Amino acid sequence: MLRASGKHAGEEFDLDAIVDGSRDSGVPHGDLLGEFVEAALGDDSERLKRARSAVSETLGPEALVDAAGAIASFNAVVKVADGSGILVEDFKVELIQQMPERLVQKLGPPRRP
Amino acid sequence: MSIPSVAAHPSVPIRQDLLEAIDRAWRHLSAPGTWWTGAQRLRMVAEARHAAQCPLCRQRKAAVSPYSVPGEHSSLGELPETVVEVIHRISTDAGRLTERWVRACLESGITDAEYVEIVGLVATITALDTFSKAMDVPRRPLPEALPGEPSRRRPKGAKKTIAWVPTMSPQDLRPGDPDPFSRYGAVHIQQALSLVPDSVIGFFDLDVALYLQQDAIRDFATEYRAISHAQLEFIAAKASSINGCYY
Repeated sequence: MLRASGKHAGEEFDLDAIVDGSRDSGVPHGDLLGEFVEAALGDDSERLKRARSAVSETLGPEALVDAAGAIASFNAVVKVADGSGILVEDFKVELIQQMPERLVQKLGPPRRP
Repeated sequence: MSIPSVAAHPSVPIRQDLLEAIDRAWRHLSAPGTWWTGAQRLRMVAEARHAAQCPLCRQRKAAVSPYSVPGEHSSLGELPETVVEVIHRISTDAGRLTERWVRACLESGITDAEYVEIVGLVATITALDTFSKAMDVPRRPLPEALPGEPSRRRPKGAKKTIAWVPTMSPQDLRPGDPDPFSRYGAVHIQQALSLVPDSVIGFFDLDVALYLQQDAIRDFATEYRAISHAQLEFIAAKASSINGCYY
Protein backbone atom coordinates (compact mmCIF):
# COMPACT_ATOMS: atom_id res chain seq x y z
CA MET A 1 0.00 0.00 0.00
CA LEU A 2 2.88 2.35 0.76
CA ARG A 3 4.21 1.81 -2.75
CA ALA A 4 0.73 2.40 -4.18
CA SER A 5 0.15 5.66 -2.33
CA GLY A 6 3.61 6.85 -3.34
CA LYS A 7 2.78 6.09 -6.96
CA HIS A 8 -0.43 8.12 -6.62
CA ALA A 9 1.53 11.03 -5.18
CA GLY A 10 4.24 10.72 -7.84
CA GLU A 11 6.85 9.72 -5.28
CA GLU A 12 8.91 6.63 -4.70
CA PHE A 13 9.39 5.69 -1.07
CA ASP A 14 12.36 3.69 0.14
CA LEU A 15 10.80 0.52 1.54
CA ASP A 16 14.15 -0.55 3.01
CA ALA A 17 13.56 2.17 5.61
CA ILE A 18 10.85 -0.04 7.10
CA VAL A 19 13.55 -2.35 8.45
CA ASP A 20 16.46 0.09 8.53
CA GLY A 21 15.86 3.14 10.72
CA SER A 22 19.03 4.82 9.43
CA ARG A 23 17.51 5.26 5.96
CA ASP A 24 15.17 8.05 4.87
CA SER A 25 11.91 6.53 3.68
CA GLY A 26 10.89 9.69 1.89
CA VAL A 27 7.61 9.64 3.82
CA PRO A 28 7.13 13.03 5.51
CA HIS A 29 8.27 12.72 9.13
CA GLY A 30 8.75 8.99 8.60
CA ASP A 31 11.62 9.04 11.09
CA LEU A 32 9.41 10.35 13.90
CA LEU A 33 6.58 8.00 13.06
CA GLY A 34 8.88 4.99 12.76
CA GLU A 35 10.40 5.77 16.13
CA PHE A 36 6.90 6.10 17.61
CA VAL A 37 5.96 2.65 16.27
CA GLU A 38 9.12 1.01 17.63
CA ALA A 39 8.69 2.70 21.01
CA ALA A 40 4.98 1.90 21.30
CA LEU A 41 5.63 -1.78 20.56
CA GLY A 42 8.68 -1.91 22.84
CA ASP A 43 9.25 -1.89 26.59
CA ASP A 44 11.11 1.39 27.13
CA SER A 45 8.62 3.85 28.64
CA GLU A 46 11.02 6.82 28.48
CA ARG A 47 11.66 6.18 24.79
CA LEU A 48 7.90 6.06 24.19
CA LYS A 49 7.40 9.29 26.11
CA ARG A 50 9.99 11.04 23.93
CA ALA A 51 8.59 9.58 20.71
CA ARG A 52 5.02 10.55 21.65
CA SER A 53 6.08 14.11 22.44
CA ALA A 54 8.02 14.40 19.20
CA VAL A 55 5.02 13.34 17.11
CA SER A 56 2.60 15.55 19.02
CA GLU A 57 4.84 18.63 18.93
CA THR A 58 5.80 18.24 15.27
CA LEU A 59 2.60 16.92 13.69
CA GLY A 60 -0.02 17.90 16.27
CA PRO A 61 -2.19 16.08 18.82
CA GLU A 62 -4.73 14.89 16.24
CA ALA A 63 -1.91 13.29 14.25
CA LEU A 64 -0.70 11.59 17.42
CA VAL A 65 -4.14 10.03 17.88
CA ASP A 66 -4.26 8.76 14.31
CA ALA A 67 -0.71 7.43 14.47
CA ALA A 68 -1.50 5.64 17.74
CA GLY A 69 -4.64 4.24 16.15
CA ALA A 70 -2.73 2.82 13.20
CA ILE A 71 -0.16 1.23 15.53
CA ALA A 72 -2.93 -0.33 17.62
CA SER A 73 -4.70 -1.61 14.51
CA PHE A 74 -1.65 -3.30 13.05
CA ASN A 75 -0.51 -4.69 16.37
CA ALA A 76 -3.90 -6.38 16.67
CA VAL A 77 -4.71 -7.47 13.14
CA VAL A 78 -1.64 -9.69 13.23
CA LYS A 79 -3.40 -11.74 15.93
CA VAL A 80 -6.35 -12.23 13.60
CA ALA A 81 -4.13 -13.25 10.67
CA ASP A 82 -1.75 -15.48 12.59
CA GLY A 83 -4.33 -16.93 14.95
CA SER A 84 -6.55 -18.05 12.07
CA GLY A 85 -3.71 -19.03 9.75
CA ILE A 86 -5.26 -17.04 6.95
CA LEU A 87 -3.52 -17.44 3.59
CA VAL A 88 -1.99 -14.48 1.82
CA GLU A 89 -4.01 -13.60 -1.30
CA ASP A 90 -2.54 -14.09 -4.80
CA PHE A 91 -2.42 -10.35 -5.50
CA LYS A 92 -0.41 -9.81 -2.32
CA VAL A 93 2.09 -12.49 -3.31
CA GLU A 94 2.82 -10.52 -6.47
CA LEU A 95 3.37 -7.39 -4.37
CA ILE A 96 5.57 -9.30 -1.92
CA GLN A 97 7.79 -10.34 -4.82
CA GLN A 98 8.45 -6.65 -5.45
CA MET A 99 9.35 -5.91 -1.83
CA PRO A 100 12.97 -5.33 -0.74
CA GLU A 101 14.78 -8.57 0.00
CA ARG A 102 15.67 -7.51 3.55
CA LEU A 103 12.01 -6.92 4.37
CA VAL A 104 10.92 -10.28 2.94
CA GLN A 105 13.70 -12.00 4.89
CA LYS A 106 12.48 -10.38 8.11
CA LEU A 107 8.89 -11.41 7.48
CA GLY A 108 9.66 -14.92 6.28
CA PRO A 109 7.73 -16.77 3.59
CA PRO A 110 4.07 -15.78 3.22
CA ARG A 111 1.46 -18.39 4.22
CA ARG A 112 0.34 -20.13 1.04
CA PRO A 113 -1.63 -23.32 0.27
CA MET B 1 -23.04 -1.31 34.45
CA SER B 2 -20.48 1.47 34.50
CA ILE B 3 -17.60 1.40 32.05
CA PRO B 4 -14.98 4.11 32.58
CA SER B 5 -14.44 6.00 29.36
CA VAL B 6 -11.34 7.33 27.64
CA ALA B 7 -13.36 10.54 27.47
CA ALA B 8 -12.72 10.84 31.20
CA HIS B 9 -9.28 12.13 30.18
CA PRO B 10 -10.23 15.39 28.43
CA SER B 11 -6.61 16.39 27.77
CA VAL B 12 -6.44 13.71 25.10
CA PRO B 13 -8.02 15.01 21.87
CA ILE B 14 -9.39 11.71 20.68
CA ARG B 15 -11.88 11.71 17.80
CA GLN B 16 -15.49 11.24 18.92
CA ASP B 17 -16.03 8.34 16.49
CA LEU B 18 -12.98 6.59 17.96
CA LEU B 19 -14.14 7.19 21.54
CA GLU B 20 -17.49 5.68 20.66
CA ALA B 21 -15.85 2.70 18.94
CA ILE B 22 -13.70 2.09 22.03
CA ASP B 23 -16.79 2.11 24.25
CA ARG B 24 -18.57 -0.30 21.87
CA ALA B 25 -15.52 -2.57 21.89
CA TRP B 26 -15.65 -2.78 25.68
CA ARG B 27 -19.35 -3.58 25.59
CA HIS B 28 -18.58 -6.26 22.98
CA LEU B 29 -15.93 -7.82 25.22
CA SER B 30 -18.19 -7.88 28.27
CA ALA B 31 -21.33 -9.16 26.51
CA PRO B 32 -22.19 -12.81 25.87
CA GLY B 33 -20.63 -13.93 22.62
CA THR B 34 -21.49 -16.78 20.30
CA TRP B 35 -19.81 -19.53 22.32
CA TRP B 36 -18.70 -17.92 25.61
CA THR B 37 -20.56 -15.95 28.28
CA GLY B 38 -19.70 -12.37 29.12
CA ALA B 39 -18.00 -13.50 32.34
CA GLN B 40 -15.91 -16.09 30.49
CA ARG B 41 -14.95 -13.56 27.84
CA LEU B 42 -13.76 -11.07 30.45
CA ARG B 43 -11.74 -13.78 32.19
CA MET B 44 -10.05 -14.37 28.82
CA VAL B 45 -9.38 -10.65 28.41
CA ALA B 46 -7.81 -10.57 31.88
CA GLU B 47 -5.70 -13.61 30.98
CA ALA B 48 -4.54 -11.94 27.76
CA ARG B 49 -3.37 -8.96 29.78
CA HIS B 50 -1.65 -11.28 32.23
CA ALA B 51 0.22 -13.17 29.49
CA ALA B 52 2.87 -10.44 29.24
CA GLN B 53 4.08 -11.42 32.72
CA CYS B 54 4.24 -15.17 32.01
CA PRO B 55 7.83 -16.53 32.40
CA LEU B 56 7.08 -19.52 30.14
CA CYS B 57 5.91 -17.19 27.37
CA ARG B 58 9.08 -15.13 27.76
CA GLN B 59 11.25 -18.25 27.54
CA ARG B 60 9.37 -19.48 24.48
CA LYS B 61 9.57 -16.09 22.80
CA ALA B 62 13.34 -16.11 23.25
CA ALA B 63 13.75 -19.70 22.03
CA VAL B 64 14.57 -20.66 18.44
CA SER B 65 11.39 -22.73 18.50
CA PRO B 66 8.61 -22.09 21.02
CA TYR B 67 7.66 -25.76 20.69
CA SER B 68 10.95 -26.86 22.25
CA VAL B 69 10.20 -25.23 25.60
CA PRO B 70 7.86 -27.25 27.84
CA GLY B 71 6.34 -25.92 31.03
CA GLU B 72 3.29 -24.41 32.61
CA HIS B 73 1.98 -20.94 32.03
CA SER B 74 1.69 -18.47 34.86
CA SER B 75 -2.05 -17.90 34.70
CA LEU B 76 -4.77 -16.23 36.73
CA GLY B 77 -6.11 -19.72 37.40
CA GLU B 78 -9.64 -19.11 36.18
CA LEU B 79 -9.60 -20.84 32.79
CA PRO B 80 -8.89 -24.34 31.46
CA GLU B 81 -5.27 -25.07 30.56
CA THR B 82 -5.95 -25.25 26.81
CA VAL B 83 -7.70 -21.90 26.83
CA VAL B 84 -4.77 -20.37 28.72
CA GLU B 85 -2.32 -21.83 26.17
CA VAL B 86 -4.34 -20.36 23.29
CA ILE B 87 -4.60 -16.94 24.89
CA HIS B 88 -0.94 -16.74 25.90
CA ARG B 89 0.46 -17.91 22.55
CA ILE B 90 -1.74 -15.57 20.52
CA SER B 91 -0.97 -12.70 22.88
CA THR B 92 2.80 -13.12 23.01
CA ASP B 93 4.03 -15.04 19.95
CA ALA B 94 1.31 -15.18 17.29
CA GLY B 95 3.81 -15.02 14.43
CA ARG B 96 5.08 -18.54 15.13
CA LEU B 97 1.77 -20.36 15.48
CA THR B 98 1.34 -23.39 13.26
CA GLU B 99 -1.64 -25.33 11.97
CA ARG B 100 -0.36 -28.34 13.91
CA TRP B 101 -0.49 -26.33 17.14
CA VAL B 102 -4.05 -25.19 16.38
CA ARG B 103 -5.09 -28.80 15.70
CA ALA B 104 -3.56 -29.88 19.02
CA CYS B 105 -5.53 -27.18 20.84
CA LEU B 106 -8.74 -28.30 19.13
CA GLU B 107 -8.06 -31.89 20.20
CA SER B 108 -7.63 -30.72 23.80
CA GLY B 109 -11.14 -29.66 24.59
CA ILE B 110 -12.21 -26.55 22.68
CA THR B 111 -14.06 -26.37 19.38
CA ASP B 112 -12.88 -24.51 16.30
CA ALA B 113 -15.56 -21.87 16.81
CA GLU B 114 -14.68 -21.40 20.49
CA TYR B 115 -11.05 -21.02 19.38
CA VAL B 116 -11.95 -18.39 16.77
CA GLU B 117 -13.91 -16.39 19.34
CA ILE B 118 -10.86 -16.38 21.62
CA VAL B 119 -8.68 -15.09 18.75
CA GLY B 120 -11.12 -12.21 18.29
CA LEU B 121 -11.08 -11.36 21.99
CA VAL B 122 -7.29 -11.34 22.18
CA ALA B 123 -7.05 -9.19 19.04
CA THR B 124 -9.58 -6.70 20.40
CA ILE B 125 -7.95 -6.26 23.81
CA THR B 126 -4.57 -5.99 22.07
CA ALA B 127 -5.89 -3.11 19.97
CA LEU B 128 -7.44 -1.35 22.97
CA ASP B 129 -4.41 -1.69 25.22
CA THR B 130 -1.90 -0.81 22.48
CA PHE B 131 -3.82 2.37 21.77
CA SER B 132 -3.91 3.27 25.47
CA LYS B 133 -0.18 2.64 25.80
CA ALA B 134 0.70 4.65 22.70
CA MET B 135 -1.46 7.55 23.87
CA ASP B 136 -0.41 7.37 27.54
CA VAL B 137 -4.03 6.88 28.54
CA PRO B 138 -4.57 4.63 31.59
CA ARG B 139 -5.49 1.09 30.63
CA ARG B 140 -9.18 0.63 31.32
CA PRO B 141 -10.12 -1.70 34.18
CA LEU B 142 -12.35 -4.60 33.25
CA PRO B 143 -16.06 -3.83 33.39
CA GLU B 144 -18.71 -6.09 34.87
CA ALA B 145 -19.88 -8.87 32.61
CA LEU B 146 -23.23 -8.44 30.93
CA PRO B 147 -25.71 -11.21 31.68
CA GLY B 148 -27.05 -13.65 29.13
CA GLU B 149 -26.24 -16.82 27.30
CA PRO B 150 -24.10 -17.26 24.18
CA SER B 151 -26.10 -17.55 20.96
CA ARG B 152 -24.33 -20.80 19.96
CA ARG B 153 -25.13 -20.22 16.29
CA ARG B 154 -22.65 -21.71 13.82
CA PRO B 155 -22.94 -20.48 10.24
CA LYS B 156 -23.80 -23.47 8.07
CA GLY B 157 -21.87 -22.22 5.04
CA ALA B 158 -18.48 -22.11 6.78
CA LYS B 159 -15.80 -24.34 5.26
CA LYS B 160 -12.06 -24.82 5.57
CA THR B 161 -10.48 -23.28 2.47
CA ILE B 162 -8.27 -20.26 3.13
CA ALA B 163 -7.28 -20.69 6.79
CA TRP B 164 -6.55 -23.25 9.50
CA VAL B 165 -10.15 -22.86 10.65
CA PRO B 166 -13.39 -22.83 8.65
CA THR B 167 -14.31 -19.44 7.20
CA MET B 168 -17.05 -17.87 5.09
CA SER B 169 -16.96 -15.66 2.05
CA PRO B 170 -19.93 -13.43 1.18
CA GLN B 171 -21.20 -16.21 -1.12
CA ASP B 172 -21.39 -18.60 1.84
CA LEU B 173 -23.79 -16.45 3.87
CA ARG B 174 -27.18 -18.07 4.45
CA PRO B 175 -30.43 -16.33 5.43
CA GLY B 176 -30.21 -15.27 9.05
CA ASP B 177 -26.41 -15.19 9.18
CA PRO B 178 -24.96 -11.90 10.44
CA ASP B 179 -23.23 -10.21 7.46
CA PRO B 180 -19.91 -8.65 8.49
CA PHE B 181 -18.67 -8.29 4.91
CA SER B 182 -20.96 -5.62 3.48
CA ARG B 183 -19.76 -3.16 6.10
CA TYR B 184 -16.12 -4.09 6.67
CA GLY B 185 -15.02 -5.71 3.40
CA ALA B 186 -14.41 -9.32 2.42
CA VAL B 187 -10.71 -9.82 1.74
CA HIS B 188 -9.07 -12.67 3.60
CA ILE B 189 -8.42 -10.73 6.79
CA GLN B 190 -12.13 -9.97 7.18
CA GLN B 191 -12.98 -13.61 6.43
CA ALA B 192 -10.45 -14.92 8.97
CA LEU B 193 -12.81 -14.98 11.99
CA SER B 194 -16.03 -15.46 10.02
CA LEU B 195 -16.79 -18.81 11.64
CA VAL B 196 -17.95 -16.47 14.40
CA PRO B 197 -19.43 -13.50 12.51
CA ASP B 198 -19.94 -11.53 15.73
CA SER B 199 -16.18 -11.65 16.29
CA VAL B 200 -15.54 -10.13 12.85
CA ILE B 201 -18.03 -7.37 13.59
CA GLY B 202 -16.68 -6.75 17.09
CA PHE B 203 -13.07 -6.52 15.99
CA PHE B 204 -13.48 -4.54 12.78
CA ASP B 205 -15.95 -2.07 14.29
CA LEU B 206 -13.01 -0.92 16.42
CA ASP B 207 -10.33 -1.48 13.78
CA VAL B 208 -11.86 0.80 11.14
CA ALA B 209 -12.06 3.61 13.72
CA LEU B 210 -8.43 3.09 14.70
CA TYR B 211 -7.20 2.88 11.11
CA LEU B 212 -9.46 3.31 8.07
CA GLN B 213 -12.63 1.93 6.53
CA GLN B 214 -11.81 -0.63 3.83
CA ASP B 215 -12.94 1.62 0.95
CA ALA B 216 -10.87 4.53 2.32
CA ILE B 217 -7.64 2.53 2.31
CA ARG B 218 -7.23 2.79 -1.47
CA ASP B 219 -8.90 6.17 -1.84
CA PHE B 220 -5.62 8.03 -2.19
CA ALA B 221 -7.36 11.16 -3.46
CA THR B 222 -8.92 11.82 -0.06
CA GLU B 223 -7.21 12.10 3.30
CA TYR B 224 -9.40 10.83 6.15
CA ARG B 225 -7.01 11.36 9.05
CA ALA B 226 -4.68 14.02 10.40
CA ILE B 227 -1.78 12.13 8.83
CA SER B 228 -1.59 11.16 5.16
CA HIS B 229 -2.18 7.79 3.54
CA ALA B 230 1.58 7.44 3.08
CA GLN B 231 2.23 8.17 6.75
CA LEU B 232 -0.46 5.72 7.89
CA GLU B 233 0.92 3.05 5.57
CA PHE B 234 4.45 3.62 6.76
CA ILE B 235 3.26 3.07 10.33
CA ALA B 236 1.36 -0.03 9.22
CA ALA B 237 4.36 -1.44 7.39
CA LYS B 238 6.67 -0.77 10.31
CA ALA B 239 4.30 -2.38 12.85
CA SER B 240 3.74 -5.39 10.59
CA SER B 241 7.47 -5.75 10.10
CA ILE B 242 8.08 -5.77 13.86
CA ASN B 243 5.33 -8.37 14.24
CA GLY B 244 6.62 -10.45 11.31
CA CYS B 245 3.31 -10.34 9.49
CA TYR B 246 2.30 -9.52 5.90
CA TYR B 247 -0.97 -8.00 7.12
